[in-house]
Amino acid sequence: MFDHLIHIHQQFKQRIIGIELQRFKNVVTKPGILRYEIEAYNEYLLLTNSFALPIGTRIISDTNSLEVLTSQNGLEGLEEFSGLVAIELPANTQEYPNIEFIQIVKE
Amino acid sequence: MAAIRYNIIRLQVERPGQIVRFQHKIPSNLKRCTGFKAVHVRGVQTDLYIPEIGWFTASFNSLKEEAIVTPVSAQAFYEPEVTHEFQTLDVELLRGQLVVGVYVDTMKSNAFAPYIVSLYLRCTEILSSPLTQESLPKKEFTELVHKLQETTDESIWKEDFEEEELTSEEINPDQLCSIT
Repeated sequence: MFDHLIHIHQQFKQRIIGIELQRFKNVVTKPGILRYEIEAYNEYLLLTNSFALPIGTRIISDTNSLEVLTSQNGLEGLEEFSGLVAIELPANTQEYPNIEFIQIVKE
Repeated sequence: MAAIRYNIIRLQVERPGQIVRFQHKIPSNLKRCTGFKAVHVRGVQTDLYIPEIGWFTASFNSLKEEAIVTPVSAQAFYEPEVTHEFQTLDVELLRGQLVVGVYVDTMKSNAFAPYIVSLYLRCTEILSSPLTQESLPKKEFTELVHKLQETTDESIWKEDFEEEELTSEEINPDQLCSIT
């Protein structure tokens, strides 16, 4: 297993993006609510637990989009989102996970 | 005069709501991207113009520069392509770096049929920015407007300004070609 924080620091250094703050951010989903929006302007949210999301979950942002498919469910890589981030759980879901991100505020 | 090269990123969308990822390497002789255009190529059959069937997002220089978020529309089948205009872009390219992005389909699923979209990138071998080149005449124009403002009625000045806007199309670098 690779270390998320080392990977983040290496990649942001490659991209010449200074980090002002890194911290964890959770989105707690609740029964009956399928859509959540988070503002992540001038910052990055890196999804760390895509394996815990129900198949069919979609995360749409200004810079990246993800749909959790069967084949992607086991992936360990980090997905990065920025801008307005919308999380859509599938309509027929019985699972309401905590969605975990590492929040990076850039300099 | 430096050559302009068009890079085309073509994507196939096969199911409603599909998220299609792409990465593309721009040839290293190109130094700057100056325009882009996102178009529906074929597949969507519609009687009416659809302003958005999906949208592109793309970043340049291997995720260093987020530069494009743009919708893709679909023309009615009986109408020819109405515009060849590129939208302005001003990205200095680092050598051999990636353009990375996604296309997100937003069509209604009951009207869906597989289709193809393209993202055209207009790039050049010149390093200097066309925007800075244009800035000098703009400054002169602003000074002229200030002089006119001092001596003329405001409504007349507005008319003059609109006329100037129209004639500036002749030198618009985003106009690939005109339709007659």
